Amino acid sequence: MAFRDNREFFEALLRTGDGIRVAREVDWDLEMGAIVRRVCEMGGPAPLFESIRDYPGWRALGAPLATFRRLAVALGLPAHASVREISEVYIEKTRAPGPEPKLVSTGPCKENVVVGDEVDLFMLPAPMVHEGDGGRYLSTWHMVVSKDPDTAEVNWGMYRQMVIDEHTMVGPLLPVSDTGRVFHNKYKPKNKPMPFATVIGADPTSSIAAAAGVPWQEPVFASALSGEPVELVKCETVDLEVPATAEVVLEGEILPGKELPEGPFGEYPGYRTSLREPRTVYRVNAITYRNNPILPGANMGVPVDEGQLLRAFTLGLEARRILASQGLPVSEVFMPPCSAHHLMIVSVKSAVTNIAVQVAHALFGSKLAPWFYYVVVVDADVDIYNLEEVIHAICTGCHPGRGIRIYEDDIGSFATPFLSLEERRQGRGAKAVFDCTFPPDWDPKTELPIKVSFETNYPKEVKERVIANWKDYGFPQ
Amino acid sequence: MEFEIYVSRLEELPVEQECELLIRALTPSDRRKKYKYQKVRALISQQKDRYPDLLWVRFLKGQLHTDPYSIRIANTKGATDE
Ligand SMILES: Cc1cc2nc3c(=O)[nH]c(=O)nc-3n(C[C@H](O)[C@H](O)[C@H](O)COP(=O)(O)O)c2cc1C
Repeated sequence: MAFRDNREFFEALLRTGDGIRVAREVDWDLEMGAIVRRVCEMGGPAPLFESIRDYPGWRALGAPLATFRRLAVALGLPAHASVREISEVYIEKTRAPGPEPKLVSTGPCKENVVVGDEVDLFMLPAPMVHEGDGGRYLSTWHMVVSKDPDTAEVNWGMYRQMVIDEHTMVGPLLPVSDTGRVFHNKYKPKNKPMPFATVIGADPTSSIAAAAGVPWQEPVFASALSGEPVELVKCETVDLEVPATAEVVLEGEILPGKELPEGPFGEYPGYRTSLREPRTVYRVNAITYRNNPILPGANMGVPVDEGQLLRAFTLGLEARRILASQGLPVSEVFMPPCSAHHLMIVSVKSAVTNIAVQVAHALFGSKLAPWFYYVVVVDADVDIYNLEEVIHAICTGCHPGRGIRIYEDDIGSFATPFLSLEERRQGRGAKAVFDCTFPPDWDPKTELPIKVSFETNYPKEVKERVIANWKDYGFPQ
Repeated sequence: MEFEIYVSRLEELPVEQECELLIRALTPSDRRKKYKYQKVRALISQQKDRYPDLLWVRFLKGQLHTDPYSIRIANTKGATDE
C-alpha cells in the first residue's frame, strides 16, 4: 500500500511497534539529537516528539527509516520481511516507470504560507543534532528540488542544510551530485542564482527516491516505488513543483559567488571527517507548512542510521541494475549498512576467468563510484545477506596476493575517514577488489575445493530423516 | 552575552586589534535564535574578563577549547553581507 504522507506512514509504524509517541517535552538543543542517536544505536522505534521546548505547535520525527523493518513498512511489506525480500520488491517495483506524477491545484503543504520579510528559519525547531556541530541542521531528511534550465529535468536530492540566520542556509552541494552538477556548471559560471525548494517531511517513498542515486527523474521513480502517482503542487515563488502532502517547504535561490563555512557535522561513515569549510549558500524567500507540522530528521553517526541503511540499500540495488544492464552474470548485490556503504558484496554465477575484475570495473566506472571503495565478489552459493558467510568466503576464497587488486588514485568522497585531508578535498580515493571466487579453470577432481556442509554433503533421504527426527534426538526445534 | 567562533588554530584569532569575525550567538534573548550567525567588527582578548562578552572557541571538528576569550562588539551585520 502507498502512504499519502509521512503521517500515514508513522501511524503504520505505531501499529507494527516501530514508532512511539514522546509526549514529554524535549529540547531541540541536543536532547532530541541524543535521543535519536541512541535510538539508532539500539535499533529502537522512531520517536514522534509531540512537545518541543520553545516551539509550541511543532512536532518532530526522529530516525524515520533507520531500520530494515521501517523500510519494509514504507514499501508496503510486513515489518518482518527479510532484506532479500525487501530488495526484490524494490527491484520489481522500479523495473519500469509507473504512473506519471500528477499536478494538483493545492495541498496540505500550503496550509500556512510565509513569504518575503516575514520568513524566519528560526520559527522551525531545527535541532542542534550533536554537540559541537557547526549549526542547527534543518534538513537531514528532506529533498532539495531543482530543475536543469536547459532540459527541464527535475532532480530531488538529499543534500544537508545548516541554518545560518533567518533567511540563510548553507550545505555541501557537491559537483558529483545531480543538483550540484547543474549549479556548478550552468548557474555559477553565469553568476545566476539557481531556484530551489527544500521539501522536509515528504511521503516515505519520495524521501527514498531523493536519497537513492536513481537513473530516472526522482518524481517518476517515487511514483513507481509507491505504485501511485506522487501529487505535486506549484511553489509560491519559484518555478518548481513539490509533493503536496509535505510537512514543510522552503523556497528560494542557491547563490553563486557566495560561500559560508559549513559543518562540522556527524557524517554517514560514523565520524566527523570533512572539515568546516566554505560551502554553498541557500537564500530562503518563502516557507509553507502544514498545520501541526512535523519536522523529520536523521542523526548521522555510528551505524545504523538512514545515512547508512538507505544509501547502502539503494546503492547496492542500483549497482545490481548496472551490472545486469551490462549482461554480467550477477546473482545478487548487497551493501551492508554497517559498512557505511563502503563495501559492495556481489555474488556471481560464472565460468569466466577474472569475472570479479570485470564486475568491479563496471562499478568503479559508474555514477555510484564516489560512494564506495571495496568490492567483494563471491560465488553464487554464498548467502550475501549473511555476513558470517561472507567473511568465511573472503577468508577461504580470496588469495591474499592474487585475489586482492588495488586501484590507487581513484575517486572518493569528502567524508571518508581513511582518506588524507588532501584526498578528501579533491574527491580522490582508492579502490580494492576481493576476488573470492574459485578460478573456473581449476580441475574439479583435483584442484577445486568442495564446500562441506549439511546442505551439500549428505544424501537427500539422510537430510530429510535427520530433520524429521530432530526433536526426537532431544534438540529443541 | 556569550558567543562562539570556529578556528583551525588559536593563532588565527586576532587579539587586541579590531577585526571582522563570523560568530554565533549562544545566549540570545529569544532562545529560538540560539546559534544564529552574524558578522561583527569586534575586539577580542585572551583574558576572559577584559571585554564585556564571552567568546568561546571551537576547532574545525567541533572540539571546544576550554578557556573562553572575551569580546567587545562594535557593530553587527548579516552573515552574507559584504
Ligand atoms: C541523510 C542523508 C544526507 C545526505 N547529505 C548529502 C549532502 O549533504 N551532500 C551530498 O552531496 N549528498 C548527500 N547525501 C547523499 C545524496 O542524497 C545521494 O547521493 C543522492 O543520491 C543524491 O541524489 P543525486 O544522485 O540526484 O545527486 C545524503 C544522503 C542522506 C541519506
